[in-house]
Amino acid sequence: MKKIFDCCIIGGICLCIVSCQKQFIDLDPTAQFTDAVYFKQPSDFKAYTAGFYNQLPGWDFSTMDNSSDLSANANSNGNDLGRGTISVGSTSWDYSGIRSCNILLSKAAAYNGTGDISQYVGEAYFFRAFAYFGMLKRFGGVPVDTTVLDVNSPELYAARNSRYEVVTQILSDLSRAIPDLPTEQTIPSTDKGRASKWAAEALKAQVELYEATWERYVGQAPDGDGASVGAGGKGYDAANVNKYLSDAVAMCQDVMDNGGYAIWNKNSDPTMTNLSSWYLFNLEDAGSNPGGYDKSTNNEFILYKVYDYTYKQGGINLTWTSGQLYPSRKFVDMAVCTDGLPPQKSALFQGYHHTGDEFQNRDLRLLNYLYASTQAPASITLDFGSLGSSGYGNSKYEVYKYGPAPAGRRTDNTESANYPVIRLAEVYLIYAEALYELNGAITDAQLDASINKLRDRAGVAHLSNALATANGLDMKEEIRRERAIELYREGRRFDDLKRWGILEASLNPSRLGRVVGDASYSTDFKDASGNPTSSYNASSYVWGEEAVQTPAGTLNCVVVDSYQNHTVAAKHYLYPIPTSQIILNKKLLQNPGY
Amino acid sequence: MKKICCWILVVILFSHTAYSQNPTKDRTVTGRPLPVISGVVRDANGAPLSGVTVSVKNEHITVMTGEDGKYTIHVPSAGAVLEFSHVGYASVEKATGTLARLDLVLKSKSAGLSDVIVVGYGTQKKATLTGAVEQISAKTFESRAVTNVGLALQGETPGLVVTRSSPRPGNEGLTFRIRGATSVNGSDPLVVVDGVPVLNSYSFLNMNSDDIESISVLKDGSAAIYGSRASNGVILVTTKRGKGKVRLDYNGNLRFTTNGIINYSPNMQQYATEWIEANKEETVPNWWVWGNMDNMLKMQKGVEGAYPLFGTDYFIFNANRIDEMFARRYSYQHNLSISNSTDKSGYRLSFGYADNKGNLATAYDGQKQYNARFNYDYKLTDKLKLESGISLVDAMTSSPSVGLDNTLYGYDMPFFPAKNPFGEWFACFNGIDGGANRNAAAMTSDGGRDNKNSLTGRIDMKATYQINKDLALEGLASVQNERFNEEKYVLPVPVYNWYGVQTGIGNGTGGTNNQYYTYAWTSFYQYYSALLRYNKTIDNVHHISAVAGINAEKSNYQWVSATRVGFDNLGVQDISLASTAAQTNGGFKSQNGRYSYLARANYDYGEKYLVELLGRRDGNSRFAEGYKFKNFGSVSAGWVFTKEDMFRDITRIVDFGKIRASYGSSGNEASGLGEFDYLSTISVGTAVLGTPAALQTSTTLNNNGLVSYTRTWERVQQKNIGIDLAFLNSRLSATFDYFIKDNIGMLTSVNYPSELGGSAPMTNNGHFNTKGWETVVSWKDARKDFSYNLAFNIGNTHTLVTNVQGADSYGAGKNGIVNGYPYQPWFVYKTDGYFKDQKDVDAYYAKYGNSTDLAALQANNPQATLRPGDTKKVDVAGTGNITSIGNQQSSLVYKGDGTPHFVFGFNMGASWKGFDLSAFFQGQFKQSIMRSGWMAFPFQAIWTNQNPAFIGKTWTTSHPNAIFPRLTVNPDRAAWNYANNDFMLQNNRYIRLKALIVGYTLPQAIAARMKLAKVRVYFSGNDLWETAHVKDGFDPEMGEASVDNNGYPYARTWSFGLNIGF
Repeated sequence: MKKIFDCCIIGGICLCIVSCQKQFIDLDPTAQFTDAVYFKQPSDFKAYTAGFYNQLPGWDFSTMDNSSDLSANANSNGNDLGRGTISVGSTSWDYSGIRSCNILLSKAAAYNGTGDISQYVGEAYFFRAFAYFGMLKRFGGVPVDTTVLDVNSPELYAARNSRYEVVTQILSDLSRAIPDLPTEQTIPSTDKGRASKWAAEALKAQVELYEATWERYVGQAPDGDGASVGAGGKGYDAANVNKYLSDAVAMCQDVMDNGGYAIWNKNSDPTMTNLSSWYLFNLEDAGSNPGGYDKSTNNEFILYKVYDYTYKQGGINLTWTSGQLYPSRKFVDMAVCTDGLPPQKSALFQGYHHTGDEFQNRDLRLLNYLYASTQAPASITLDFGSLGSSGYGNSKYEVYKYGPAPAGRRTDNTESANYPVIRLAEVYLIYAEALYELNGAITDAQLDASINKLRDRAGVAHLSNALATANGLDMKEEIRRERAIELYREGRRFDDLKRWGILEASLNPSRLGRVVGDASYSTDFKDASGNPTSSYNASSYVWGEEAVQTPAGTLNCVVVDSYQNHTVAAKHYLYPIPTSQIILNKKLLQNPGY
Repeated sequence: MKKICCWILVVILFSHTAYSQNPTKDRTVTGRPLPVISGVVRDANGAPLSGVTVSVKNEHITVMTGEDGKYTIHVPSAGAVLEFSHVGYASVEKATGTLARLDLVLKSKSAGLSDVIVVGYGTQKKATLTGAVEQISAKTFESRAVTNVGLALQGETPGLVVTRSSPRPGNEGLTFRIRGATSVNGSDPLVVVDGVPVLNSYSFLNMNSDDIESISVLKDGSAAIYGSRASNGVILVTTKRGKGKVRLDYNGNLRFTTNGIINYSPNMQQYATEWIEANKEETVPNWWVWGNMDNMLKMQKGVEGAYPLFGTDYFIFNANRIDEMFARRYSYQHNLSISNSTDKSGYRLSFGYADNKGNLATAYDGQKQYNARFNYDYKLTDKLKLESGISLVDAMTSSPSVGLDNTLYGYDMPFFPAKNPFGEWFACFNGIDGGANRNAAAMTSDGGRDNKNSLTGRIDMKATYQINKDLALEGLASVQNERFNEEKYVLPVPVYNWYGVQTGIGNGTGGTNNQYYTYAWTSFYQYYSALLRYNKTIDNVHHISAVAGINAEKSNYQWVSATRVGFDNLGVQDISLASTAAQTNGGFKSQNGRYSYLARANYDYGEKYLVELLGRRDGNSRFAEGYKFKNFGSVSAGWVFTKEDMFRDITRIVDFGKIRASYGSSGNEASGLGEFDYLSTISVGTAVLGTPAALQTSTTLNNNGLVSYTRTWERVQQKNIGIDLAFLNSRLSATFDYFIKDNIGMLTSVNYPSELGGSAPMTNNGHFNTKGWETVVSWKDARKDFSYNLAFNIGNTHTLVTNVQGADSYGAGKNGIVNGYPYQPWFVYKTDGYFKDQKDVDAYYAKYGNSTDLAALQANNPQATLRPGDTKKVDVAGTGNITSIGNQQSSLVYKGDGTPHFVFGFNMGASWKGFDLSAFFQGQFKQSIMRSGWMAFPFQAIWTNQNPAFIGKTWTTSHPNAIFPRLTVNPDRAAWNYANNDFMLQNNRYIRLKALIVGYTLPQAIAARMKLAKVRVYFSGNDLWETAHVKDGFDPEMGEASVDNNGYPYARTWSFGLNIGF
């Protein structure tokens, strides 16, 4: 009897415990949704697309054209391309943003709710195009995926699509994004920073100009044959160049006419002392400039990454390092004089005998970008130092009132200006360049509707056909010059040099600093007998001096980065595909020359 | 609800059966009085032993010896066998025959084969064990004078490798490995205290080591009884319980620490020398901020004061940062316990308090710890026994919130004094650089505090009901709860230049860093088990024991955190005093559970032939429906060959010999798995948008929507063969084990093409094989008053990874997993000495000039070109391209793995009358390491501190046979010369005196006169001496990192302790 009783106890307990199993094993998340219940209402889509904005470029020294022909600093970001020392192991091949967009589009396809989600669908197309454009600029043709891949998807092991197929995909995505996205005018202030219809049109124009000029000036050589090397030329159509250019003009025209954007020109406010081109890039709250303008006054930025002193600071020592992003001799000689003519053509140019001479009667942008001032310093000391000083400073991106409180306003890493991704100035520049590339000419009215508005802010005379003809200027070069000056250190220079087909010619010469002259051309740095003055620590310049053509004749300049360090070649128009990816997917063929 | 019902039912059933018992009386058989046996139990020194358990074999009759060692027991019949057992002593069985008096001497046990040791879900005699199990007794902890239990275990047993990465109390970064790694997903052993897994590793490490009775380390398939988490071995901890007469024990120690190996940082003379020597080798010198050679020559002479540079003056002093920031600090520890037992009940109550300080002199950096434990046992009836345990640990770690980072050594040369002449914190480089407002002394002193408080409570209840003579039912419930609170605030520290002008706010303390952060974590862990135990001996030779049951575990955790930016310190610190302008908060909660069915059966025939069978069915909530459960099992057998008649001849020399073999499989749940990784979950965060900007809800799919539904347990198969031998009256004993572990279906993240757009979820993929051996040899002997013992243990493991999809590529340096190689294989450049002359260099460029690795070191670039004395890398693949890319097409060769090999421990001890001495050495014979970080080699970066170890050891024209290549200030060339080259691999071989203990115990007679049971005083030192093969100035236990993120010197500990028993 007792035995049976014991058995009952044991059996009972066992049964009971087995039924407890579920309590321990079949658990659900207590603080997370699964995607089974998500993406059911517009706010879910809105929240998901908010994450896309992290994909926009932000404050980062690697997007500041370091080591380009306009830069003479030793901060090494950009050295691999600027010097032609790209290694095949290191470049990034990132599809995570593309996957996020594909996820949203697949969830949108399955959406059967009542609220409108078209804006968010448009954002997904926009960001997918943005991501593929980044890949195109870096690698040329890449595999194009428009669905959400799984680990078993055969697409993972597919060959590269050609650049022409990638461009087709980008333009198709943007064409779908444009009608879905709201106009800037209808985006509420709480959502400012999200992509507008105009941003998509501006991006489309940017892509079209990029591709049209690439096809015109670089051609098909970097494509390879697609069978043993490169992504191949599938889908190439010579007629696309003009098609793209005319659409780029149309896109810009729409943004210019209907976007409601305007150049941020506060030069009429005397407290702003003609420094609009400086204050625009450190615009934060009312304390960020003497005129009391805050971010809400800026309707020049069409697409930008939002930063905020409270919620999202720049996080890099922007002001300190910006000061060391020295411009090169080439850049300083490029800016026009107030008569609208380049220094070599202008009677206003003052030469180099004294430190400040070359800045007399020049483009305000030169002084704004270099010295946060309208006056150049009267004396400087040329010392190579540890960073290879060119003798010029850089102030673009530097903050107003740098230093700790109470004397200063901002210290390093806390600078929080919005980062411009596309601004109206670039739309003007695209417009002018696309028109000229399309027609071989541009009218004065078209110039006045576009880049002459930039010249107004820069305090220099308008560019006109008459000015060009009278002074023997090449209009195409003048438009490119305007672009180089206006978009200085905004991450466009390397791509421009490539699509104009002048990468090797531009990057292989030495990066030079100040003119130091010699006995026949004395300066503050060399006396009449050609000896270095106390302002010139000649022995510190490890690469010595080089005589080059300047607006004042062939003169000696200090060398910051010697041509000997530069081996840029045809292959550098594209980056190499990372070897690790080729090991994983044997069908990825390396770009030519690597 | 159902769960609660279950347990109520269990309790009711227990209580029901309890009350249905007859009241216990003196047992009588047919009215006649039972035979009574009495006697005295003494130890080897003749002192009476109290608390010895005396029981009648195969009966439930048990008494304990009293204070005087006396006992009296009724036996059911003449001729019964009495069993005497006492913790720390060898158990003895005696047939009583017709005796009425039986006096006995119990021998203290030390690795004796007759010991009973704790194994999974029970105890077993070491002699009949078929698995590989090591036991560590309480003695280990008695005088180690470290509060951390993990540190006390270092080197105690082979196969358990304990490493630490920092000397900071509460932040030691300990890792435990039993028999090497099993998986790339972490290989931490399971820690079980009193039969229940611990909530987290801290609740083990922070235990009061004074409470520990013994620790068993289950190393092979025998751990499989613990299933899911046991494939990396199990550390079984048993706590002390009440025993014998009332006894009050105090032990305490006071200790201080001194700096250990600290040669990795230069003084100003050494720093300058390294620069001068490097620039002597350059055609284009680069003096960085130091301007020119004259300054460096001045610095080399040790001239302190102003150096006019960079438009200001640099003030340089030989301010030894070690002296400035680290000094002797005193720590102490007190433990008090009271214990008592009767035949009905027993208890032990203990309290501990410790304050452990790191060497930091500028601020408090340490951990205060309170421990309390109450173990209470009560026998309701002869059949029903209750055991309970309550413990509470409160550990408070407090450290500076900033400054113990790269600013300590890695970034700055240590010759900027902490303060300027005005007594203000001095910014290095005179604050010239916006980023140079660094000063570790200032930040640690004034930059705020990081206080962490972990309060862990645990309650165990265990009931054992003896259903009949052979069968017992045991129910166990344990709940553990940790409340962890952290408060961290960062205060802006103004720093100044030499002239008293503020140059900014100290590094990491300004802007949004100036904040108050608070974090609260609660976790709750429940463990239940119900077991049936069966023990039977048939015909005195067939011993059968079996256990079967169920256990269930569940843990829940949740946390909240809040931050406010902008905090002024007015003497009171709380989040409510910080600015509300920018406040953020966050939180999360989750849960996981396990459920297992288990059974084990042991059979032995005359303690000669031994067999054990074990099976488990494990379930885990971390896997998807249908993949949650998996079955595992093991079988093991043993043969005590010295019991065979045919070996009788050898037993004169070999007292005992046993061969063991086991084969088993157990599940391993990868530690990298999240609770609900198999579901595509949404993470909610924030994005900044709007004008003015504000936070907007932002969501992402976890792992970008990549999930695996079908993954399941890793299956770890273990094979073990071992032999136990004892010679010369058990004075010499030896154990040897050889084992193979195979992790089949290891959970790894497969490398798919990045086109996938995210990293693939971990899936069962790949095979991780570990082979190894370990051995222990010990000798002990005693002559009159003098006894001594020696023990040496050593073990080695070798791993091999195969069949992991996408794990075929490798790069320069230490890799993770590469198919066909051990875990963490080193791939390094093969080198062929240094270029002899320019002709040699030119020939190299002619052949390899277009190499990938030479892209930045072009022949025509005088700054960066290779020169005589630079490293000559070999084109191993014969492709004409020196590169680290492309596996077999690269110039890399495999050079062993990065895991420790031939790890050993060596104990020796001696005692004479009241004096005792013991020393414990620990070390390893082989571990390939390469120094990483900024001080790995000279001029890895020019703007960091430089390691002085290379001075005079580099190539120069007059010293062409140097062990290191030519110095260079060009970082690209420095990387070519040093980084990942074969000659940079160092063998981290070392032996360290982990503990040295000298003690004196007052003779019993004198102690008794003082009315004390025991008085002992001792000196104990930790890490007092070592000899290491690593010659670059770093501590051998520090691992590979140089001091990028920390420069906390390793410390030696000197302590003095006192044990008193009342």
